[in-house]
Amino acid sequence: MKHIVIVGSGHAGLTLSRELRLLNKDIAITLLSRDSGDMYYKPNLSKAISMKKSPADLVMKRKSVLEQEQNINILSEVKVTGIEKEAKCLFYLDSDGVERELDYDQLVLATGASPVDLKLTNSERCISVNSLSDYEKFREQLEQLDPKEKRIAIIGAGFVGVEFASDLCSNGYEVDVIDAGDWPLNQALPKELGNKVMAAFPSDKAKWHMGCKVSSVEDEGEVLTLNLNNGTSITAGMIISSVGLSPNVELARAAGLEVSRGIVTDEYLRTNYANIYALGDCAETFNIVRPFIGPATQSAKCLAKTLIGEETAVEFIRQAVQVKLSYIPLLICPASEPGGDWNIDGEQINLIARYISASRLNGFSLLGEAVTQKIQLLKEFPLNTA
Amino acid sequence: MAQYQCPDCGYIYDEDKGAEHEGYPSGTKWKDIPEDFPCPDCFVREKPDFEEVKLK
Repeated sequence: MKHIVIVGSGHAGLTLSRELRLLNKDIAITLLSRDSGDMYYKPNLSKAISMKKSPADLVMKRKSVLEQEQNINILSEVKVTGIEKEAKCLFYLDSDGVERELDYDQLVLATGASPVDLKLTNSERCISVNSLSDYEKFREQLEQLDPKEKRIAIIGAGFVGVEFASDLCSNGYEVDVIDAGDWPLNQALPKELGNKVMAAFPSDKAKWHMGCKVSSVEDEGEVLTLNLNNGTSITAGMIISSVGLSPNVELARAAGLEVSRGIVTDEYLRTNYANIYALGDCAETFNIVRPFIGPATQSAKCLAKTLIGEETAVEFIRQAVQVKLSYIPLLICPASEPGGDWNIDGEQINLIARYISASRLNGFSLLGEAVTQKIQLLKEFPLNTA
Repeated sequence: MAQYQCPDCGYIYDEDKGAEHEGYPSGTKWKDIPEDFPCPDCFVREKPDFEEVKLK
C-alpha cells in the first residue's frame, strides 16, 4: 500500500491529508508535527480576544478526532532530523527523544514559516505569535501584566501586527506600534489608505511610530523600555514582535533540495528531487512564497490529485484577505509584482485602491464600505494571473 | 433554522442571521445560497465545503 508522509500539521498539511482522503480511501497517510497535532486556524490567533476565545477554545479538532475522521496517523511532538532521499526514508526524534525511521513513497514538506527574530531582547515578555503554543504564552503574559502598565509595544505593522493592535485596543489595552515603513501595511496598501487605517484607531489607545526602528530594548523586570532610532523611548509591559515570516527550509536544505527564499517547486509542487514535494508557507512556486491561507488551500487541492496520479498543475486564483480590524473594514488582495502604481477611487474612508502593473490590475485594497465591491474587483483580473 | 460552518476558519452561516454584507438577508435558507458562495471570513472555502452544525 502506498504511504504518503507529510511533515507539518498546519493548515497546508491538514488540508492536504483531508483532500487526499476524499480522493482515495486506501493510501496510508502519516503526518508529523512538532506541536500537539490539534487543528486550529492560525489567522484566528490575532483576533481571539475579541472572539472571546481562550487558547483552548481555538482548537477546532483534536488530534484524535482528526486521526479517526481522516483515517490518518499523526505523530505529534516530534522533530524531523533528516531525509535520506535515495532510500526514501526520513529520521525523526519521537516525543521521548528516541530516534526513529519512517519510510515513504511520497514525501510532502509542509514545514511552514517562522517569525523573524530581531534578537532585541531575551525577555520572555517579548513574544512572536505563530502557533497555538506561542499564543498560550502570549495570553499568560497578558494576564500577568501589571494593571498600571497595560501598554503593549508591537514591532512590525504588517497583517499580524495591525490585527493584534486592533484586538488589544478593543479589549482595554493600549498599544504602541512601531514600523520602519511610513504607514501600516505599507507593502500592501498605498499611503492614503494606510493613513486612514491609523486614523480609524482611537488616538488615546493606539500610538503609531512609523518610519522608525527599535535600536535597543532594556529589560527592567516589570517594564520594558524600547529605544527608537528617532530618539524617543517608550515603555511597555510586553512586546509583540511581528516583523515577518521566514520559510522553514533547513530540513530541505540539509537534504540537498533546491532552496531559494523557500523550497523551490515547479507547477506540480515538486521539488528538484523525485517524490518530494513542498506545500504552503515553506514553498516557493513560480519564484514567489505565498504565506497566505488561500494559496495553501488551492495548492493542497491540486497536490492531492497529483499525488494519487492525476497530475494537476497548481493555479493560484486571486483571493482577497480580510484584515480583521474592529475599527474599520479592510480587504487586501496582495499584488504579485513590485513596481506598479496605485489608483485610488472613492470618498472619505470608503476607498478602492487598484494596484496597476504593466497596465493591468495586479492587486487591490478596499477600505470601509468599499469592501462590498470585492466580487466586482476580483472579476476585473485577467484570468489566471496570480 | 440550520447553521453551516466553514471547515477552515470556523465561520458559521446561520440561516436566522443570513449574511447581510454578502447580500443575503436574515432568514435566507442555505439551499438558496449559490454554490460558489465563498466563506465571508476567509474567502477560501466555498459552500460545498461547509459542514452542517449539529445542534446539541
